[in-house]
Amino acid sequence: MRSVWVTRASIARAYSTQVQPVISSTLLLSRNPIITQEPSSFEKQFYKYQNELWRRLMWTFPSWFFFKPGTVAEQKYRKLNKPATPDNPNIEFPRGRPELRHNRDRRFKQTISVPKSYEDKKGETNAASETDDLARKIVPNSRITEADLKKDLASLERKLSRTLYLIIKEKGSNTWKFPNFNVPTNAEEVSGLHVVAEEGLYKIGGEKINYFNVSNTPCHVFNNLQENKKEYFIKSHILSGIFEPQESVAEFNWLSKEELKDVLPAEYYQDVSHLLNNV
Amino acid sequence: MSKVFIRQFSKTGISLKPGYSTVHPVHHLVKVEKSNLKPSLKELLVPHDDITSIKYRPYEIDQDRIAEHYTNTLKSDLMLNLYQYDADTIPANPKRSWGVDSPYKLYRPLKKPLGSIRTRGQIKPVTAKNIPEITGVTVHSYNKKALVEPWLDITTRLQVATLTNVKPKQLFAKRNLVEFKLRKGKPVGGKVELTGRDMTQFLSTLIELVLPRIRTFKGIKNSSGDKKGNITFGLTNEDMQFFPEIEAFQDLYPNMNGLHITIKTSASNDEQARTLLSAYGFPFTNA
Repeated sequence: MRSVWVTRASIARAYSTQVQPVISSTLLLSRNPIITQEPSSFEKQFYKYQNELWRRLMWTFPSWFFFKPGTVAEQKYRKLNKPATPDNPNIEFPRGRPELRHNRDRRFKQTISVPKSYEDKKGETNAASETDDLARKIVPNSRITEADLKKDLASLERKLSRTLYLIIKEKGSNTWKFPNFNVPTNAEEVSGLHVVAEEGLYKIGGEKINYFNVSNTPCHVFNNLQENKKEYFIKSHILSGIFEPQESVAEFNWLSKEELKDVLPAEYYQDVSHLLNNV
Repeated sequence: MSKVFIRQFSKTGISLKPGYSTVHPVHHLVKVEKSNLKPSLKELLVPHDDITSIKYRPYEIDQDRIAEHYTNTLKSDLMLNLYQYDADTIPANPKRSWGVDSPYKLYRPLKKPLGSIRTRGQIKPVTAKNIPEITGVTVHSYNKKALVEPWLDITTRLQVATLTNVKPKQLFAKRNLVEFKLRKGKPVGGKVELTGRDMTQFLSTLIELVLPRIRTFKGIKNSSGDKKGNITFGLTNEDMQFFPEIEAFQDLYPNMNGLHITIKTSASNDEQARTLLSAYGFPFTNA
């Protein structure tokens, strides 16, 4: 009986001497997608089919409303849009008889050429007029940026259609991780998890960064058993500015979910992968 | 003023037009639509989303940028932002009974809700299942000048149709008011209920092209809202010129009319609705 008591006491002592885990705050700083997702080939085909169908079923363009008869605009419009071939009972139409309603052949979609609001200056290559002219032709930028081509992982302008997350490599360490900051233990300096994350971000990334904290509530806790740490995740978005690595940071990257899988320690990634955006 | 119901053999409806019915039917309670009975109108019975229907119109013609942004980015943020620890359902604040101890109380119109004029539905804690989203947008254009000059009603509806890509419903004056020159049943403009693609298209135009260019616009008032998560604001007739559909053809629309825009959300109160709308880029102000 006595021996049993002794063993119990020894177990209790072992527990009481264990150190309390360190509370820390991890910053999940992401850059949201800037452009639309790349649709899959099926989606592309589906949208193309639906779009063509929509154009086919569309109402006839009321040109009499937008180009008033007797105006210069109407003359320009008529020059660009020749009237459709009318039906003639005396003529054979090998490709089918036209069905004209309001000058539109009902069998096909209606294609309209609208007079250009800009002038096509083919000979001139004046750089100033190209960039400043309000009436210039609108050409969308490429979805692939310079950073994509250079494979610059530290650039915020890579993978515009994906959510990117900030990971860092601290000096003297060899592992990639999300920025993590310990909450001060003494009673005077102690502050909220989100405050620790915000102040920590400025410490590692300089003050040229404009961010938005989604909530003061952490979205996840990771039990770091190796370092006896509880890491609370604070979700945040970078809105503008740049991340300028300070002294404590050896390297930093902006990576998407798939790239993080290869870089982060496997156990750590498995624990946090549900927080990361698939898009 | 009480509502007038016109009863016909086929259906019963609230009448906003003047006139009366000489028919006194009370004998059948089954609702019958005449178009269902006529063989020549069989084509109209096919549901509009069926490709064989004459009213079929494909909607999913392109990527929906705004809807994608909501599902990919905003939704998870809103769930975290609106999370409250240990939250309970706050019961609704409905109109109250005066009591049942006297026939006078029994038939009296209900008492106002406690501490408020308007009623409020119950507020449930936000979980993954009930993250607030925009369910619809109502664009309503009431043109009081159309009471004097009836043709203005047509231009008002044309303007709403141009902006929203949807054919508006006709609005009629509801009552007789001499001081406002109101005559019951007069056409006074139009309104549309937007959902899906038309809605996201209209919202993106509003957020990105129209509101930023209105110099006097400071934001939607924080006091706006019906306590149930639906937020309304107005645009004046001068603001209409910033809609790109109208901008290039301003001479075709000489008589512009303002709009009332109601954004309907599934949020259970206005505060959540404001959070949702500001995530979409609508500014809010106290002024």
